[in-house]
Amino acid sequence: MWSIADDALLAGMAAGDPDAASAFVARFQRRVFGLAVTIVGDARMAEDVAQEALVRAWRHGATFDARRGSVTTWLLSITRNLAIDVMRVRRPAPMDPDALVVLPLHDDRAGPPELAVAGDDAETLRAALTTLPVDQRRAIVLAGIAGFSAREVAESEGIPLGTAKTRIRTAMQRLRTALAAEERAE
Amino acid sequence: MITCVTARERAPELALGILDGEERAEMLVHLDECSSCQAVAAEHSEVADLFAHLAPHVDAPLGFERRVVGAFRSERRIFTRRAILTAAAVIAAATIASIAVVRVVDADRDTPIASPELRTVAMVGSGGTEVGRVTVSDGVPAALAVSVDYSVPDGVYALRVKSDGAATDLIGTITIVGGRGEWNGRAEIPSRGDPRVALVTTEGSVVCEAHLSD
Repeated sequence: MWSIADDALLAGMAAGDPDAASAFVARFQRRVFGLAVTIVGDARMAEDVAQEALVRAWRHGATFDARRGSVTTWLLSITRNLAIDVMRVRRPAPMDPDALVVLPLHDDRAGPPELAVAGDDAETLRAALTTLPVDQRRAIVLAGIAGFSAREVAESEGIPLGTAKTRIRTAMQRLRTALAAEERAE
Repeated sequence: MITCVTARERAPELALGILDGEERAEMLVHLDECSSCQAVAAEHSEVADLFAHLAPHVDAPLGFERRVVGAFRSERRIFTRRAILTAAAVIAAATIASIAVVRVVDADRDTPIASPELRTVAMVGSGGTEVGRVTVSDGVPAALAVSVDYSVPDGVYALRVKSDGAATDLIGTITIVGGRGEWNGRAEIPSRGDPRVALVTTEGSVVCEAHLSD
């Protein structure tokens, strides 16, 4: 099942191959639904978001450009943007940023090589997140995953806007440095 | 016009997609002309992209896969109708242009008019997000169908044809309502210099663009 690369599967789906479409949904549904439910915090709403994300992938698959990133990153970006749009209209429950960082990143289902690469980088990011001061980590997780603006982070954390901006910017700078150091070490 | 110092301060928020409209517009204008800040912004984008990978994998509700594949079938029917209409509009515009040219240049010959070649490229916004498509015909002037259906704020935008080393041409305006908007028309597309079609705000900021040579 995993012998077909993500971009080939996407191309097949975009070309109208029903088997490729089913395989694409089967491969990515847990990741897409997992991200959606993490952001919106409601299973029914997350299902709608996940379905719309996969439909958009199907609709725009023919114009996917591998030079701009992996299929997984592209698909999760669509999912995140949709989930954030939903949350801008209705934000039912505040997300606990601390809970996310301790969650396991991978399940036991092996994927193609590109998934492993993204997983490695995500592991590095998670490790780097745990080294940040708690206030910076909370701010960057709210912004990075849930799409909170600096103003929303300020309101959620009960801090001035300038402080929220500083926490987000400093955290991103530190994460960027950590990932760059990891790349140099490899 | 913001400085490089300000641009680098704001680069993390741009990468995370959380800058407000005015600051985002200022950033895009700056990045359009500053390759070193572009590189910094790209590094932040690589970090920002990873956040979505942190989410756990969760089993979707029973029947989810079947419902999604069913939605593909429904979409295909709608998409096919839209594609036919769009292609028909582009072909009609291009054919009218061809007829006009043929009549002027070659009025005495019975020249068959072939259907123009069409190709579709993605319209891409900040962070590489695909926000729509541009279908373009060959021929001069080219027929264009611009379609935006994601992530662009509602409003009226200028549509401009840009290329490296040449002035930009205003070819029309497009109104986005409820996140969607369409424009059909004709324009001269430069044959070199990475020609692109861009949506531009009234302040002159590029919101998204499609590279026609892709």
